[in-house]
Amino acid sequence: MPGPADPPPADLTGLNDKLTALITAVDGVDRLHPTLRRAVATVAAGVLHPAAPWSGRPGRPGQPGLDLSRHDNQIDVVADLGTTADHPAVTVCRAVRQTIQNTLQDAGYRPGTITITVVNVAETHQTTL
Amino acid sequence: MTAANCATMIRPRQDRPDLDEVTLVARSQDGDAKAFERLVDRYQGPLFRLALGMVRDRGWAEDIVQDALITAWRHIAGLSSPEAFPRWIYQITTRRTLNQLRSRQRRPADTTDPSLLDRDQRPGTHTEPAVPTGPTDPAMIAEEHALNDALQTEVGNLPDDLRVCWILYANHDRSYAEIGGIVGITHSAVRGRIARARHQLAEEMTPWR
Amino acid sequence: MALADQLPQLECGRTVEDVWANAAAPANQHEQHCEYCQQARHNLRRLQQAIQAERSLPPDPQQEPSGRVRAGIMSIVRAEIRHGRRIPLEYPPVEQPAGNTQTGSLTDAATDDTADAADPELAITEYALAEVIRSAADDIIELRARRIRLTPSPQRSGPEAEPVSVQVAISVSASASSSIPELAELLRERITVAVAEQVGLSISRVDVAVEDVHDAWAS
Repeated sequence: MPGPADPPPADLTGLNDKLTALITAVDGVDRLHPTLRRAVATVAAGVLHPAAPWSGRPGRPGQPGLDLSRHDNQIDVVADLGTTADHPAVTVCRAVRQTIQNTLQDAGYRPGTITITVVNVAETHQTTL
Repeated sequence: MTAANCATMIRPRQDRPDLDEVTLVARSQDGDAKAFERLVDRYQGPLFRLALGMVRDRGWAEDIVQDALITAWRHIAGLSSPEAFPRWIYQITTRRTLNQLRSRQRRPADTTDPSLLDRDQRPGTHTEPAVPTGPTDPAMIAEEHALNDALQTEVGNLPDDLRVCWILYANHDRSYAEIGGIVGITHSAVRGRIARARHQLAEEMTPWR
Repeated sequence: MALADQLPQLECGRTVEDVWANAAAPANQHEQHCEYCQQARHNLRRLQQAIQAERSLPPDPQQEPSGRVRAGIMSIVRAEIRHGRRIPLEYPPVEQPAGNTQTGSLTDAATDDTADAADPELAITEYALAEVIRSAADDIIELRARRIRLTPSPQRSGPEAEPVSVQVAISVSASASSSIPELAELLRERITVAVAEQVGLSISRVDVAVEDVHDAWAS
């Protein structure tokens, strides 16, 4: 059973990259953030990157990106997102979920549990505190 | 827009207020990193000067302050009330400093230690004040510098337990009660230590000429 | 009193603190004839001059920490943001098992309740939602937002997807010259609008607790 620090199987890496690109392009998505699993894996591996450059966004250690896991032909997806303030987060999440479902189906998989968490709403104009 | 909006002003987004300390601490307790950053800005200078006065080494003092403020971030949610923050952060810094002094090898007196050099020999210390706060006569300024240097040397010669109380009292304006809470000793113990510090400093300052 | 805490004494039996207490005034009866007290007065005056010198000198850049301290602290702070609970953005419809009627058996209902408790798929963190609310509150000049408590509505199982509403409790400091009821109403409105527009959740109520007052000019 692969542990959290193991890289995903090669065929899922390509799918992960594709999903990442499509999700980031959805209206209202600011960026992907590292998931909790990635943060834990990073800390467990003894690697602590400095958090995202000082920009007012929340940080976690670990690389930003999606967690994919496969059972038979079903793929579960976990994503932590930043959204922009000019789109309601719930609308963005539904659009992202739809994008994920479509992409998985097109690739011949069955969409499983898709867990999307908004960890930050980025203001669309600069503020200083 | 309701009538209420006309009666008060909505500030432009770019223009964020200077917040009072209780608000900054309360927000930090909720996880607001921007608010905590402003606390760091306010406290890193005084805490650094406290640690520097004790360990007499910039890098060491910086490490102490960094550790203390990170500890504060990790435990701030458990602080009983935001008003307790100043005493708490001073307590963390002071006790960390004293523990490290007790357990680490004391470094031998360093003749290149800037605080021991005559002011003229110290690199990059000639700064012009924006507004002169003391005498402007050059001879008097030189005398002030010399007096201050002698004071810093003698404060450095105080034993650690006297020195920390003296610094908190003379440089950080803490009351005896506050110092007792920060260091973990009784009010009368604070009074005794400051008195002995004052006595030693007064004695040592006099041979200066 | 412990021996170590006793006040230092001069040869004449007086303590340095006695001399210090009188140092700003003319020498008293004893001091006028006591060489030890006179020496102590002189020494203390010298010390006081040095302390004054320390205070009146311009700030020394050597006495400031370098930029690495703040940078080091904030990189850890950022990496250790407490995101808090996941607050659902929607409650999906709860599937009724095949053949179940509206009334259903008690056993079936119990099973449904367990299924209801599964993690919501679409969610926002407490931290992110609190930031939206805090930012909306900061727009109001007379107010300083402090602590925010969020309570999402519980899910009622049903065949339809269900919107989520959130109850907000916020504590603030208000400017001394302000009208509190008016400000509270304005705050409620701005929070409700901001959360609707930026998140897409509805706010069921906003409890505003004014726990402090600050000077109007300091707003």
